[in-house]
Amino acid sequence: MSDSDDPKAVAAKPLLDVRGLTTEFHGDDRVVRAVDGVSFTVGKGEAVGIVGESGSGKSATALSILGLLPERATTAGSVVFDGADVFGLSPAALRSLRGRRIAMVFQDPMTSLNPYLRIEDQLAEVAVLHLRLSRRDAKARAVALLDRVGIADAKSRMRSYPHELSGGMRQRVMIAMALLCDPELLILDEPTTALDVTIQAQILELLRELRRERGLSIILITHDLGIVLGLCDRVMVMYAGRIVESSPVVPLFRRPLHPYTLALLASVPRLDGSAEGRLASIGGMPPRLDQGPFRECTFAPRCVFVHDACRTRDPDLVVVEPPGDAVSAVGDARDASARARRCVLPAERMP
Amino acid sequence: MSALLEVNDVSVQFPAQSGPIRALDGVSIHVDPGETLALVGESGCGKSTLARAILGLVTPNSGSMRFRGAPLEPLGTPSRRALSSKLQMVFQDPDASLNPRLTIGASIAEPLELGAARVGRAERRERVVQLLSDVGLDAALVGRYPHELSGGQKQRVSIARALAVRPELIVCDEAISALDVSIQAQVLNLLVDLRERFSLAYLFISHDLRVVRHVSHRVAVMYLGQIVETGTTRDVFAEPRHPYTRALLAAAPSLNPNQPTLPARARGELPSPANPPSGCYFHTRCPEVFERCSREKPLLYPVRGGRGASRCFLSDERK
Amino acid sequence: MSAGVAEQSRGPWEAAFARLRKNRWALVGFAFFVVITLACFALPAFAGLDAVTTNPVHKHLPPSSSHWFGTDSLGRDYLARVLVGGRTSLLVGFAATLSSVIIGVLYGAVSGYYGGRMDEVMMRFVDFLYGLPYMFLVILVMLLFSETARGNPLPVFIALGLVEWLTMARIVRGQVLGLREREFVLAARLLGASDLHVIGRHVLPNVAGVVTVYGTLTVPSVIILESFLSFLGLGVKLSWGQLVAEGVSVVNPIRSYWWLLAFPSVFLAATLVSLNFLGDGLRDAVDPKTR
Repeated sequence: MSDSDDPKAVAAKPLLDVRGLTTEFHGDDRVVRAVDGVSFTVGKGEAVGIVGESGSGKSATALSILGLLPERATTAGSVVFDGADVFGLSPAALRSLRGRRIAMVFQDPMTSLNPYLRIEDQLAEVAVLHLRLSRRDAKARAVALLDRVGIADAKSRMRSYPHELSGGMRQRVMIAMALLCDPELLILDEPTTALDVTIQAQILELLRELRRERGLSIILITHDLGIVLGLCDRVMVMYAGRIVESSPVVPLFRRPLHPYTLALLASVPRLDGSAEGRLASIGGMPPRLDQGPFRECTFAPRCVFVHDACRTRDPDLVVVEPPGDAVSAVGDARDASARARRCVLPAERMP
Repeated sequence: MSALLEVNDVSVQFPAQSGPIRALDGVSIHVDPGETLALVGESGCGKSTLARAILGLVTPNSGSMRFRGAPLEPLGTPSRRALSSKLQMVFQDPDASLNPRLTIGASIAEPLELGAARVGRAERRERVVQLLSDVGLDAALVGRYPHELSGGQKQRVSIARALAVRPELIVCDEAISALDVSIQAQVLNLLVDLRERFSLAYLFISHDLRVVRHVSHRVAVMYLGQIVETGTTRDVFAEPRHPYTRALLAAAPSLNPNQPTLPARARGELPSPANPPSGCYFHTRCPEVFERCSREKPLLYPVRGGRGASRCFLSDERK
Repeated sequence: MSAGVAEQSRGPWEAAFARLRKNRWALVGFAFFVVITLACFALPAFAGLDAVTTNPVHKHLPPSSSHWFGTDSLGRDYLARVLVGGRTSLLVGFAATLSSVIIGVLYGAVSGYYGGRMDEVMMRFVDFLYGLPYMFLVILVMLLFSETARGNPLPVFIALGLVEWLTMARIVRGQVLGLREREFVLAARLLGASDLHVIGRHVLPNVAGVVTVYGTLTVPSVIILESFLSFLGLGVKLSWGQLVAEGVSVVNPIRSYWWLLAFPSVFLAATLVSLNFLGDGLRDAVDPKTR
């Protein structure tokens, strides 16, 4: 879906470079490692999807990148945005980064919007703060954006309060707010989960258009594989805080290389294909994330392909296509067409 | 044919400051023994209100509802109590469905302590263990509390509790929507299994068409308090007649890399039930709208040789 | 969250207690409170203290090894007086709280569960009572019973209970209104349970936490009320408030009998603070922010 030039050149200098990101939450008597050594890149104009179920660490990853974690969390690893080390930034510089160059849209717009302020005030505030625009210019810019994201009658709508808008409209406002400062990277965390399905379709179409128009880089976090297929160039599947598979999107759907990905795809009922029979479900439950280093593959207890070998070690993420680049510790997408997986079983043995 | 559940021309209105809100507008459905009818729709379509009316939490302003021929009374009345062993419900939120102060065993045993289904303590214990096994849970969970269980497990417990009275019809109100994807599959499989084993009928309320296709025999699509299309699942999915049904189907993101997701087919926002559009409620968003649609209200016209119905002028097969 | 069998199952109460045990301030408060209560109820008998015998010769003695807290205007051992007085204050505190809790919970539960008109009427009644200057009411009640009041703490209980149940009723009603809509309550009703069963099995146990917290915090406010009444001369025979009043009455610029004022005040304050710590700790334990 990336219709830009040579993917290798574009991705050569990634916009976002995450290495060994590890985040731990410190509770009263235990430490939960929500993100475990996650590494990936996002190129300019590239859309990357992070897919996982609850507890997979996908949201924590995004929050870690932006430094939005609660106090009791520690982060290790490095996040480099356009050459600058995000973790080394001063709080002021970080604040300026957020909102101006990296924007985030969350799942529930109701908690992201201040219920006591009109929409126009909230939008204008962002523009005035980050872009140093005059109030009038800020408002004009806001109206233009609201119009672009599909809010009819934007000028008068701006005067509304959040609770007067529907869920879909609130999410559009959030997208407008995110785009206000013309960010280079847009992070979306389950942006359509709370929306009705026909509205979801509209929002996704909007995101596709915006991405084309502005050359936005996107990180889309979701549990819905279908959305990823419709919007992203590459996908990373997360499980128990790690990336278990990383791949360009179409090959992943055509031929998943990790048992978890396979199981996930098989467990979603389809509109095409047979309506009969049982859905393949994944037995058991995800592992606890406070049990320290794992001595076996984290998915082994639930994997249908499990072997004895799987219980002897915790596999690394290894690039399998193109072959030859045989062992690499980083699921690196510098080559945007690379496929990597974290599995003891050889890729050829997968169906 | 004696239907298990019959809802006839039911309307429900809620008073509001700006005028009454028609949550349900002349809705008729029926569920036969052992069959699964899916109610599909988005926010404001009235499916939750319909579920509440069937359960006796809301009294319709007009129309009738019958279970095995007997009229459905509001919750709390003796006739409704007698019905509790026939008609049960599983809710959407697994966390709120179980009393946090009761053990799993106590929650499941409760139906066996009340009313018609009451049994002695020893038999209760046996039945609880059996029910846990029926829903695929370890008997050891009897002494646990809800907060120790996962969402999927809690939902299974809710199902076990509903099963305890050996009902004939279970209303599943978005029963799997709050669960993780892979867990949804587990619970869905369970529901299908139980249906076979216990000859259960389901009224399956959902917004997710993919799930609906997998589990239901017949489908009723709702929009703004009205039924806009009915038919067997196979028919409706293969050949949707109403533009809204088509929009819903198009909106479901495709998982097939060879078949990209279709462009969105319904423009604009969902209208509010407090302020429905004139004429056909869907006309403000319909890609196939024409002049008549804003003036007149379409009826539910029979289609597919009477096997289904569609509330669209384009489906009016009469000449 | 484990699906295994090995772990010890923890009910919501046990989980709350575990959290409480980790709260140092709450434990300190609890410990203090226990110590004070034991001292008041057990110590006098144990140590053979005499709060009653007057001994005018030894009046107004400062604290010494024979009279740890000194003596009062009638030569009575003050340590004994303070401890025995504590019994009254504490008893009144608990009894009045208990009665207010019972009334408040029942009233609030019924009002919240049935809702509608009944709830409106019941709550308007509560609002009305709130509006009355309750201090006057209490004083009125005390005066009405003034003959019998001199030995009998019962009117005090009534008077104080009359005041405190209102807040409890409001709190419980608020909780019940929310609980009523929860799915597990609906499920019980759907199973054909009677209202009584639903309220007893599902509603009340789930307000128990909140009730415990606010009940614990009600005790100190009742004790203060009682002290205030005693200070005004309307209280029961011997309580901390009474002693404080006596201590104040002998204040003069020439001779300061500081111990008459200090000791009951300290005990009173310590009890109140301990209970407040405990109450706060309970609140955090019962309703933790991270769940």
